[in-house]
Amino acid sequence: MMATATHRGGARSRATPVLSSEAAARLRARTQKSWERDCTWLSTERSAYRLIWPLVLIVATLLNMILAVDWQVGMASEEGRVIAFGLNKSQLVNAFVAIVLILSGRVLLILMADDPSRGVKASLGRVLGRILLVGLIGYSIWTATASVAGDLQETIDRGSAKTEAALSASRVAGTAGAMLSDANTAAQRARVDLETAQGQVVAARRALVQHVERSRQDYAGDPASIGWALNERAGLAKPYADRIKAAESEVIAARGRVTAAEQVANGMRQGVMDAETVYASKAQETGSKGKVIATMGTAIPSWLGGPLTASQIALAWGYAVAAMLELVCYAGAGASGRLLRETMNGYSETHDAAKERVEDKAQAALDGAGAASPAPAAKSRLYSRFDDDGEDAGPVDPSRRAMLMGGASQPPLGDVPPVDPEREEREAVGDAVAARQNADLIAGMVTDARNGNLEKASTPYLRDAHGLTNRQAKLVQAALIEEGLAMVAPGNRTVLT
Amino acid sequence: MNEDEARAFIRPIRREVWQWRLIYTVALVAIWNAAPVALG
Repeated sequence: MMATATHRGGARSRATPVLSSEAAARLRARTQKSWERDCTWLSTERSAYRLIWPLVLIVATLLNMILAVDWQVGMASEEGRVIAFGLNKSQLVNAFVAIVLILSGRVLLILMADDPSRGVKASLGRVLGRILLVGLIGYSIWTATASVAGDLQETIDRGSAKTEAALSASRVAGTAGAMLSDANTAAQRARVDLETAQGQVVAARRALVQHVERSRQDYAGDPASIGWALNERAGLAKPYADRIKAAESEVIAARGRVTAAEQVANGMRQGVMDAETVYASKAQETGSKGKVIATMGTAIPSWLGGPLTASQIALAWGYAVAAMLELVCYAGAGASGRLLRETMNGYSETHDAAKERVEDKAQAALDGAGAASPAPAAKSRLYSRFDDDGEDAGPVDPSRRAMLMGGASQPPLGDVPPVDPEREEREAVGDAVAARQNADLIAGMVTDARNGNLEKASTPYLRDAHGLTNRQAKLVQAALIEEGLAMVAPGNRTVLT
Repeated sequence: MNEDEARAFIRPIRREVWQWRLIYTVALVAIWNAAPVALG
C-alpha cells in the first residue's frame, strides 16, 4: 500500500518537476556564494585571532607578574626605610625576583615550544629546561592562586563583617525601641501627674473662693473677723492658700517630669531611627559578592568534593583562575615561539642555511666541471636553458623539472639551442662561480621569499624593485626554484609558489 | 576545486578557528577574574 503510494507520488513528481533547471542553477550559485562567504569569514576570523593573540599574551603575562609581585612583596619584611613605590629594600628585591621569575617562565615556555635543535646537548638542555619550566609554572600558578584567593577571602570577610554590623544595628534598634517605650510610659505618667496637679490647683482655688464667700456671709458687719477670715498668711484662709501653693508647685514639678520624659523619648526615637538606617544599609550590603561566594561553596555537590567552606571556595577559584592564565600563556607559546624565532634569530638562521646550500651547490658544480668528463659536468649543470635570449632561466633538479614539465625530463627540444659540451661546461663553471660570489644576496632573497617578504619572482621585478642585474636575477630565480619557493609557469615565467 | 577538495581545504582552518575560540574564552574568563585582583 505504502509502496504504491510512494511510487505514485514519485511518478507525479517526475511528471511535474518541482525545481526547474534555472532554479537549480540559481540555488547552486547561491550555495556556492554562501560557501565562499563562510570560508572567507572563517579565514578572516582566524587572522583576527592570530593578530590579537600577542596582546592577550602580554596582558596575561602582566597580570601574572602583578599577582606574583603582590604575593612576593607580602612575603618580605615590612621593616625598613621606604625606597620606591612605597616599598622597602627587601620588598623591592622580592618584587624584582617575582618579575624575573614570571618573565623567564614565559620566555622559556616560548623558546621551548618551538625548538627544533637536535643532539645530546640539546636534549639534555631540554630536559633541564623542562624541569626549570615546571618550577616556574608552579611558581606562577602558586602566586596567582594565592593572590586571587586572598582577594576573594577578603571579600568574604567584608561580607560577614557587614552581616555582623547589620545584626548589631538590629540589636541596637531593638534596645532603643524598648527604651523609647519606657520613656513614653514615663512621659505618659508624668502627664497624668501634671493633669492631677492642675486639677488640684483648680480645686484649691475654688475652695478658697468658697471660703471667702462663706466668710463674708458669716461675718457680715464684722470687718475685723472678715479680715481674720480672709488673712492668707496667718488667718483662716491660710490652709487654702497653702493647698494652692502646694498644688501649684506640684504642677511645676509634673511639668518638669513631662518635659524630661519627652526629651528621653525623643532621644530614644532618634536612636531607633539611626539604628534602623544603619540596619537598612548594612542589610542591603550583606547580599554582597562575599556572601554569594561563601554560599556557592555549599552548592558544590559531594561527588565534586563539596560542600566547600568559604575559604576553600576562594582557594579553588583562585587556583582555577591561575590555571586558566597559565593555560592561556601555554597555548599561545607555540605560535609566539614561531613568531619570536622569525623575528629574533629566524632570519639569520634561514639565511645562513640558504647561503650554505647555494655555496654547496656551486662547489659541487665546480667539482663536477673539474673532473674533465663532459658527462658529469652536464649532470651537475646548475641551470638549464629555458630562455631564448641565451640567458639561463632556472635551476632545476630533474624530478622537480619533470613535475613542472608534465613528466618530461628535459625541456622541449624546440626551446633549446643545440648543445655544445664545451660551451655548456664553461657556462656551468661561470654560473657556479657567480652563484658562489652572490651566495649572500641569493640567500637573502630566498629567506625573504620563505618569510613571505618577496612579492614576485619575475626577472623585471627582481631587477627593478631589488636592483639586481639580469644575471643575478636568474641566479636568484634558480635558487628559488631549487628551494621549492618558485616554479616555472607556462610562458616561461618564474612565479612564486 | 571540487567539493571534496574544498572541504579538505577548509577543514584545518575550521579546526584552528574552533581552537582559537576555545582558548579566547578561557583567556577572557581568566583575565576578567584576575584583572580586578591585580589592579584593584
